[in-house]
This record gives sequence, structure tokens and C-alpha cells, in this order.
Amino acid sequence: MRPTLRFAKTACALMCSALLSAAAHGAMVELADNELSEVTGQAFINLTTDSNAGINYTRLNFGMDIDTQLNMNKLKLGLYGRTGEAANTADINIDNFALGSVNADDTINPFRISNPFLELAYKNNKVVGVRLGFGEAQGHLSGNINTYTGNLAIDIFGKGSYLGPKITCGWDFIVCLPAKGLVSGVWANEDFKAEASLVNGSGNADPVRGTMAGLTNGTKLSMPDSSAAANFLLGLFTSQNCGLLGVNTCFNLSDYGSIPIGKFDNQTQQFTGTANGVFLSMQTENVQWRDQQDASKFITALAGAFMNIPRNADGTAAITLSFQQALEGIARKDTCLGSATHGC
Amino acid sequence: MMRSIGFGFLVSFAACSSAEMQELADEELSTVQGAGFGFVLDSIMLDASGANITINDIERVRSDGIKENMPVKLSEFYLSGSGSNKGANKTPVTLGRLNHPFTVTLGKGEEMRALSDTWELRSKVVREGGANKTVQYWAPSGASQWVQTTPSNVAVLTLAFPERMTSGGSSCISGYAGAGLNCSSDPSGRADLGMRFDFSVGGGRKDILDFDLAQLTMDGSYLRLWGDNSRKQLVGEALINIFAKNLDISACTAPEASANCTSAAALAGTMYLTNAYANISLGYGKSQPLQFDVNSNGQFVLELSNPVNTAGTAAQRNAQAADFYANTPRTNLVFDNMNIGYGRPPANGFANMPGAALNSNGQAVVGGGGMSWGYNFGRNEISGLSFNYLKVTSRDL
Repeated sequence: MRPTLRFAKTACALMCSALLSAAAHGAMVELADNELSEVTGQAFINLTTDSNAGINYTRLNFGMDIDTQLNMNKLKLGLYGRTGEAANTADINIDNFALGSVNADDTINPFRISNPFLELAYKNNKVVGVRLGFGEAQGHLSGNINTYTGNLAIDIFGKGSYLGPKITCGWDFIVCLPAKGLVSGVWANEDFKAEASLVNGSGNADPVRGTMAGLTNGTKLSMPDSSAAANFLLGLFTSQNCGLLGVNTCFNLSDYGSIPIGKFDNQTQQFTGTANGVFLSMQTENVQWRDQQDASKFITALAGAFMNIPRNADGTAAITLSFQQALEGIARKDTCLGSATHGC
Repeated sequence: MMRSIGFGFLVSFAACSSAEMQELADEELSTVQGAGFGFVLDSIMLDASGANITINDIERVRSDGIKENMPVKLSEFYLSGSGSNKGANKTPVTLGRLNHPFTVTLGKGEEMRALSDTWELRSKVVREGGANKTVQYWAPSGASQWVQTTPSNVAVLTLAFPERMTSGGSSCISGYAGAGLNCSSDPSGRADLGMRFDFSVGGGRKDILDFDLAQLTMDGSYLRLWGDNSRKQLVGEALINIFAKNLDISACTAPEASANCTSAAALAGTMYLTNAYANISLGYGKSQPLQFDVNSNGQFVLELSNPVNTAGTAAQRNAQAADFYANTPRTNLVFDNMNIGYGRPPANGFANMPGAALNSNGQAVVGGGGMSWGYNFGRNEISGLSFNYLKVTSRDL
């Protein structure tokens, strides 16, 4: 095209577009400030307040849906000297932390978070705590858990046929042997259940810088679907000093490479629901935070850094393990793309 | 009438002046290299302590469920040279140097470089499910490297802070090597920055958050933008570095009618961060650019997609993953010490800092450093964070 023709074509196009735009904009009028102020837009942030027992709370709510698969080399909160705890330990210390998982073909299983919020607690007009909460959370949490402070609610399920052979009897054989026979025989196809939490090596509750999860002293096995009589008999046996009928009932947290957050079906290996009370907080004293899943209740977070993975409102735990997983640990889910699997 | 004539003249002028202009194709634009300029903020000082800015249209929800506007007042905003004592003694500061200025440039993607920690693939034996097995993982080597993070054959618009250096730099945080010794800004080029927010939360109460950063520098930060042909959208990557010797956040409440919190509450409710730094990395342009979009509902969508093409062969996917993990800048957030109340840590730290004396049982002894109220959270660290996938979608509350 010759330059003169190109100029003529460009000039024509410009004139046409100017005329067109004049016509198209003819009906538009500017908004006055007071009219513009009526446009509310998309409100994905709001603020709520609360109070209880002399503490005022301010919560900033975020309307967000977050799907993620992330890896972190170190998550270390609250590395300071704490009475009764080993030196150079932290309230929460997890290496190779990850959320979500990766399939063999490098597709992603994201960790899902909805309705996150940031909340401040004030006492005597000064801040005493801050928490990052997740309205809903679902997915695998992976890591080498060195220490953990907080709530870690675990349900352990399993068939008698798996548990029975693990029972070893000692001086208590008079009651132990019949129990072993029942669990391995009559109750072989029954589901057994126990509730576990953070413990120390003696089976005592240990929610501060814990390194083990298991059955606290006095915890009983139960059979949710069985008769009262069977549960009565089972109730005669309680976990003591990390043992129940010779079965080890305390497990190193470091053996759990990946734990499911949310309702998880061990049979199908699929999530069936979300965990609704997960939060991470830091407070200068023990602070009661309102329970996200039962507004009439409060959860006491201990001073320092604190992670809450609680029991669901229906009583089920956020984490559900089989006896085999509890006894042998859980293999870490692949959390990395490519050839690496255990940190990236 | 005059306005019409003027409009017509402008159209004609635009037509004439546009006559010889032709748009550049992306590949032509990508050959442009080195266009841009640098600048230094010489003797700058900002004092808006007397100004009040009110932010409206953030809603508060009353206990009866009714939503109403919550005014947020911004005040006590200042930028000063360091040593200002939280803005009380403001002095001018020069940000950037002539040989290490702020820059706005248009350059080739293959010429862009970013300073990234070097990560390497390692193996270890783990015991899982009752059996031993050898697994692979990526870990930081302790070294750092300059790497290309942007794709080749694209024109990249960059806004960059003064760069970090390979040698001869200053410590990014004075007296603390953990944040790096490679900042180009010297200690006299650090700024103090502060601002205060008053939230009218309702019920006759207001919450006050008062931020004061001391010796702030942001060397190595950048924002890079370019057009992505395959996605047909503007994409980018960003690294936001924040290095501060001190960050104090006073969080307290007061009656709505009061100008300030009581001094006791303001001091006891102050969070003191010492030797604090953040490296916030969003996007790895070569395979995981940051995408920001607004969907048809008017909600924003922020996305970092999988950097690996899952349709590729295993060898291709491994190579893409290896490039990503070896080179992508990671996100770190480190507070070498954090305490609420107690005041600023003494020179040797509080009695319960990680290196504190131990008792005869080898256990640390907790103490408040002689202060009457507070809690020392010690060191807090999130490091080596990277996203294989992230999608954040907003929605109405």
C-alpha cells in the first residue's frame, strides 16, 4: 500500500471511530459523587466484634475461596525458652511442611480453604492474642512434625482381626488372654475405636511442644456399633503408660508424614467433608477463642503459639486413622512435582 | 461552540499525528532493550501527621446482623530518615543511589535476572508404613544465584527498587547478617515509616493499630509485567523484599470519643518485631506467571498455575519441575525476635530467648527481662515457601 493511501485509510478510520464513539457515548452521563457512593461493589471483607469474660474480640472476615498446593522448608513458631521444655525447641516446628498433594502424573490435589479470618483479642484494652482461622479446610497436611502445641484430635478405627494379633499378654494374662481371644475371634469383624490426642511418653496429656500422639491414660477402646455389654467388657481395659493389652498406644508425630484435615473415608481414600474449626494463634496468656463450629462454646488456646485441629461438631475427629496407620505411621503424600516427593 | 471546534481540531490533529504510527508486533517489541530510566528520591521527607484520611465502605456487622459502614481513619503517616523515634524527629532521607537507583525499564525477557537462593535435589532414607525407602527432596544449598525468571522473546516492563548486589553490599539489616549482606542501599539510605489506623468497630469502641518501621529498606524488590500470547492477558511476577531493624505495632482499644488509648494499654499492647524481614515472591515468569483477573461476577481471581505441563512425558515434566525448584525465588517471613509487651528487647535479649542460660536439667529458664508484663515469642520463621498451585477467588460476604 502506498503511503498516501495508507494515510487516507487511517484518517478515514479515525474519523469514523470518532463519529461512532460520539454516537455510542451519547447516552452516557457522569455519576455524581453521591450517586457513585451508592455503588457498593463486591464486599469480600467485613468486620465483626464479640466479647466474653472480659475479653473483646475484633474479627476481620475475608470472603475468599483458596485452592492451593504449597511447600515450605520450615515452619517454626515460638522458638524461645519455656519452663519444663527442652532447650532450643519451638511451640510449633514442622520441616518440609506442605498442604495438598501431587499425583503421579503431576496433577494437583489442592488443599481447600474457605472463609479465612484474622481475629484480635483485647483484655484491659491491650491486645493479648491474634488468631488466623479457617472457616472450612480440607486436604492433606504433610510435614516432619518435630514439636506441636495445641489440639490435635484423632480418631483411630480398625477391625478386631488387625488389632487382636497385636495384643501381647504378660502378668495380666488372666484377663488379657480372654480379651485377645474375643478381639481376634468373636469381635474380629467389629470396628474398634479410640480417641487420641497429644501425649508424652508416659501417656499423659502433653499439649505443649508435644512430640507424640496417642491414647491418654485411662482411655478405653470402644465398639461404636456393638452392644452395651460388649462395650462394658471392653471398658474394663484402659490405656496406661502408652500401652493397652500390650499394644503400644503412643506414636511419634514424626511418623505421620501426611494427615488428612477434614472428614476422610479411609476405604475410598476420598474426602467427604471439611474441618470447620482449624486455626493458628499466638497469645500472651491462655485465651478463650469462640468455637467456630459451636458458637456457645470456647476453645482455650494456651499462651504461646498454638494450632487447633479439633474434633468436629458431630464428635468425629478432624483426623481419622486406621490402627495400622497409627501403629506403623502414615507414608507422606507426594507433595512435589517431578521426581522429588518429600520436600521442594 | 468553542468546545466543539476544539474537539474537532484535536481529532484532526490526532488523525494527522497518528498517520505514520504503526503498532509493533510482540516479537518486534521484544527486540527493544535497555529503554528506560532510573531515579533517586533525593532528600525526601513525608509528614502527613496533621492530615486525616477516612476510608469508608468496609462493613461492620452488628450482633443483630445489620451491616453498616465502618469508618477507618488513617493518620500519623510519615516517611523520614532513620532515627526518627517513631516519627517524632523527622529528617530527610535519600532513597536509592545514582549507581543503584530505582528503575523503570522495558527490556527483553531473556535479559532479566533475579537473585534467588540455590536449591538442590537430594536423597534420604525414610521409614514409612513400617518399611525403609529412599526418597528425593529439594533443599536450599545456602548459596544464592542470579537466574532468568522471565520467558524469552517477550518485552518486559519493569519497576525495580535498588538492586541487591553480588559483592560489596551492605547488610540489609544493620547488625544482623541473617537477612543478607548484599543490599546496595547503605545505612544512611534507610527510612523510618509509620501510619496509624483507627477502626470504629461499633458499640462505642474503636481499635487502634499504630505501625512504626525503623531502618526500612526494600532493595531487590521488583514488579515485572508482560503480555502472554497463549493466555491472551497481561501477566507478571513480583518480588517484594522488606527489611526492617524494628517493626512496632501497637494494638489497643479505646472509647470512640477518646483520641488515644491509655499509654499503659498502648505500651503493653505493642508487638515488637526485631530484625524482621520478608521476601514475598509471586510468580516464576518462565512457567508460572502471576495471573490476576476479574470474573464475570466482578470477583477478583489471583492464580499461580501448575508450572509443569501435565500433558508432557515424565522426562519433560521432571525437567520442568527441576527448572522450577532450582530457580524460582522463594517466600520467606522471619522475625528474629517477637514479643508483646516488655518493651524493646535488651541488648543481650530476654532471659527466655533461644540462647538463654539453662538450668541444671538443661531446660531454659523463663523470664521477663525485668519487665512487668508481656510475652516473648522468640524467633518465628516461615521459610522456603513456594506454590505448586494457588487460586484465590473472592466472593461477597
